Amino acid sequence: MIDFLLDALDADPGRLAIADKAGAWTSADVKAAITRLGALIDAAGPVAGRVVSLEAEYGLEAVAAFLALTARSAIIVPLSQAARAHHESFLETAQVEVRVTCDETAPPRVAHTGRTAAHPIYDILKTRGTPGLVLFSSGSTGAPKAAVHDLERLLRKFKVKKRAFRTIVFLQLDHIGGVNTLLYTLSNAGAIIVPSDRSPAGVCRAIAEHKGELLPTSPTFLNLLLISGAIPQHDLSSLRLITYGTEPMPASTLTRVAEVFPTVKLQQTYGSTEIGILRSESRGQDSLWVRVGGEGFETKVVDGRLWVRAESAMLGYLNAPSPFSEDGFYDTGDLVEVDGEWLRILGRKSDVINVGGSKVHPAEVESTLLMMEGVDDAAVSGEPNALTGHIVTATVRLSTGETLAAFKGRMRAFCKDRLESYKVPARVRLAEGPLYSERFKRMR
Amino acid sequence: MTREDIQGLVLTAVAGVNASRDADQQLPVTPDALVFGPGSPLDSLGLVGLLVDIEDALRDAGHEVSLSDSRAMSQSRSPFRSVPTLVAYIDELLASPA
Repeated sequence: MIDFLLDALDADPGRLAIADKAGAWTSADVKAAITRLGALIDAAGPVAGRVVSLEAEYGLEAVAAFLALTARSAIIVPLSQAARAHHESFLETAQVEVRVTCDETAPPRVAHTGRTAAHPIYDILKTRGTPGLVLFSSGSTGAPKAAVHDLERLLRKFKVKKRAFRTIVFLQLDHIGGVNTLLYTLSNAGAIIVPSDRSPAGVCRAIAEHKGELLPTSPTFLNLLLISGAIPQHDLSSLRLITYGTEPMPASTLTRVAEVFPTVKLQQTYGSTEIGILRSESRGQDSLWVRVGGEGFETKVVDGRLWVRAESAMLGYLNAPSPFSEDGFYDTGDLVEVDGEWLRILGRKSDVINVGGSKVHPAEVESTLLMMEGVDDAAVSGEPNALTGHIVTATVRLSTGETLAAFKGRMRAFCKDRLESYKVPARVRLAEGPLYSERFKRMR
Repeated sequence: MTREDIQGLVLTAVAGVNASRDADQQLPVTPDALVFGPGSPLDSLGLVGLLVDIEDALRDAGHEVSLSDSRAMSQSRSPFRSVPTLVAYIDELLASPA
């Protein structure tokens, strides 16, 4: 199952494979850790076809345990420290039978929960004899949905060799993007660099220290990085590629990133918990147009919405009805503009604000606000209004110390020639705390 | 708040809205000016913006009121017709329990 990943580790045992809080580890160290964690897991009983949580700080042991469980055809439920508040409900929803814990408090340990998992989707994996992966979607409404993947299918696309990068790990193993980054990096004999913290300064330090080449991240983090002042304080000349996804990129942020990193290639990624990560290509450095798909993926646009059919799609949800159409397509809920084979992602259908019958995409308004002097971050949403159905509401974080009234006046003047009048926020709130989530996604 | 206070607050908000309007689209800033409807250049979006500004100013003064809710829409005579009708409506809202 993971032979090709082990081969990539064997090819050059002395090279840097993982750098984490505890130290820098070679391929040989990773190989040894896989054996060590595997023995620990085996000592507690067989895990093939069993539901096993992996509660881990990202690092050598988490990666080794992930691979050891994959090799043993376990159904893995990665739970990051950041989602600690949800652990109990996630353990229950996924019917976790065995818990593997790798954290700083004690050596790695394995414990049985006493549960026995039973779900038709798990039966599919057991029949196939393949490892599974359970990921919780970070849906903004309702309870998080538990998506079950056949991990063997997710692994398949990584058998085709690509370029190796020393990669900054940004998303955790409980996120499809984090799993994708791990598998890409391992299969191509790259190195995984875990920043000591995910602040802009922490990420810059990690890039400088380990000569990081690839930074997979989100538009929100890039915006944070730009305003942090951390960029000029670190040697980031090793960076070759920045990829961004998980939410629409504000045009203004992309333009600034391209200015600040003129020699770095910028590439948009696209994917979801349900369908995996699609191969993608950006039309140009500061272009929001992207071509998505590649082998194993089919796309179509119906009524402006993007639908995807993927070989690597999940088998289904544990706690919700199947979202797939009869012919296997998945409605991403993303509204797109189409130009031949190129797409531009406008935002989630559910985020669109209807102001007196005119549609407003929050991302466009946020992009405009972010161009204003002193606006560190902006999150735009709709608010019901008796006159126009909804009004546009903006929450902004300012570095200017202006009053609300003063900022509103300046904002209206700024937006006058840049946005149609119905897109200009009617209500503005000044925020004190951050406007983004644990996964560096803008919270509206 | 006295009627004079409310009128002052409304006129300040109107002047604020004018700052981002073209020269030929300015609203008169006088105690008897028309606000919304025939004879006023303010469209419904402009009205919404003005009402939100007035709500913000009232909140700063310690009063939590909603001006563009169904109550306003159900009035037989629009409370948004002119500065005096708007001032009277706000006065009424402040006097009545929420």
